[in-house]
Amino acid sequence: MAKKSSIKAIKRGQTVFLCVMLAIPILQWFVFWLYVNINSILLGFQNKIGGWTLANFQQFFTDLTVEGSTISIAVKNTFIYFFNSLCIIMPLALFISYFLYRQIFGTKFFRIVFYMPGIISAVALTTAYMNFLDPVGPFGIVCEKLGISPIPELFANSEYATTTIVIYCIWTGFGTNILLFSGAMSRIPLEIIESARMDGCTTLTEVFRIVLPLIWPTLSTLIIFQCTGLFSASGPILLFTKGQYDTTTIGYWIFDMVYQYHNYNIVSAAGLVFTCIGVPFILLVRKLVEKIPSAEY
Amino acid sequence: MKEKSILNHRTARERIIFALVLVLMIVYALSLITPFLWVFMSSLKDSLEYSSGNAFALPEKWLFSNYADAMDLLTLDDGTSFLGMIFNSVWYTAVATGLSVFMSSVTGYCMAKYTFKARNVIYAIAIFCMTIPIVGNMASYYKLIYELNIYDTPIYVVVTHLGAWGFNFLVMYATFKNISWSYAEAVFIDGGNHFTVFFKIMLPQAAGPIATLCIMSAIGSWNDYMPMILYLPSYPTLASGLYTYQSNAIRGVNFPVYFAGVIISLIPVIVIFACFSDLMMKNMSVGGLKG
Repeated sequence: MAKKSSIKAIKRGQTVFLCVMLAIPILQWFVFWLYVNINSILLGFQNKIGGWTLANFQQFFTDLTVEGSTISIAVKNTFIYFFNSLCIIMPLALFISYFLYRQIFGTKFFRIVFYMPGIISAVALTTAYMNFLDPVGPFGIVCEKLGISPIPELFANSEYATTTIVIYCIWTGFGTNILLFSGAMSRIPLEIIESARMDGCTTLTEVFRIVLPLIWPTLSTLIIFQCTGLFSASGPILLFTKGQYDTTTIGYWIFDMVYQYHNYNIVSAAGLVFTCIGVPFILLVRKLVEKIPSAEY
Repeated sequence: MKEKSILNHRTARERIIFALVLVLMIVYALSLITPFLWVFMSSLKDSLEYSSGNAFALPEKWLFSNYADAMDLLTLDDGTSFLGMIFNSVWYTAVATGLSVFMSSVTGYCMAKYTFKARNVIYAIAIFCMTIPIVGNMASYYKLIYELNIYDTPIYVVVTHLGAWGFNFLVMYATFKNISWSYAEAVFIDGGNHFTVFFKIMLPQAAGPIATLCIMSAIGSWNDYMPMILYLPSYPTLASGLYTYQSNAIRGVNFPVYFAGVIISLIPVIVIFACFSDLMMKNMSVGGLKG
């Protein structure tokens, strides 16, 4: 009898505990996720004074089809940044991680140096990069020595600005990727590599038949996360050009509309459109990614 | 030692590839280090020497006083001093890190260790929210912050870090899944309650992952600049303050002193990283997002 009542007390204690602990996170979710997103959808169908309208969507699609409009440039650039992180930065990070895993000379040093951009603030990184590439900075001097004239204004020129920022993203983009890939590779059982070597497997076979399949859970998760961020993928535009010189992205355009112009409705409408494209896209990506079986070990 | 022999063993062809890759890696490492060495070197120059002298030359006089000047001169238009920015960075980092890691420990623990009616629904929603790409709700969020009257107040930092369903939640969930429940039963027999179990037994056992998340979150918060620009304009931190300082005063920026400020802002992050890099590299893993 005594035991039964104590179990009951523990059960009751559990309910109290869960209510106390989960109340705040759940309330927070209701306000900052559910309410925010429902209201965002509503805002897309409202005008500035709260009346119902479809004008935001009309304006958005009109702007989108005009060649050279801010929003069309933003969409184009966003795809460039997305492509860059998925098809350039991630494979390069895998490449670097593999050689670190194989303990290339100086691995410890490289690991720390390559991870640095992941912890140093974007403000400091962009300061260093921008001033280094300034026409009167070190880059300018090198250009002068090489006889390049006029010295290109890499950030204040529509022709170069986006490329310069994309290169910055590659330059600083490996940090976290390398950390996660290295972690995954370090968990590969050495016996597998060892027996493969005994069977005379080459480097390429080792990479594509052993290492990649074994780190696939990590790799696929990162690919999914990357694709989830498709429309919010944007370089540090605010820190470099504030969207001038055709560098704007969807992420920056949203920031600018909210922060500078307080034009909430058009942002919400555009966001809804992008979300409606993004959701099927990410579901498709997940389907494809899950089709590839991951090796169990 | 076995580890070394297998991974270190190279065939003749591999040796050539490794040599080529090594060269590339050295070039990339140098490209990362050089701009910061240059910023450091420039931070010791006189402002006139910086703007008119050879950019690659060593400083004529090593002006370490620029670092002291940074404290006085790097004052924002709204009157926030450099020390004020440091203060804001410190409390923002502490509050944001402490709350977000604690809250995700709470949710991770409750979801991993208890079975209750709403559990599966909550878990499914948490995963769902993480994987759908919502774009453009910043406007709605911004409005809400205004309407709640927490715009530009420290309460903003508290309220917005009470959410606990993101990446940290997954880490803590996995952590608590792997901790045995038998400790808890022992506590119940001794007359302890669920709170005792969580605070006295479970949290200490998860100290490793919690510390890792704290370090990562602290580094992230220290470097944050967007939240201050958008929601906390009166509380500039080092990251947002240095950005504002430079972008508001294009002409007349004393670059060496500004660079000194940038270097100072890096010190805490680099110290933390130097102390805990092994811990971070060991405890980081993602994978198996199933929902």
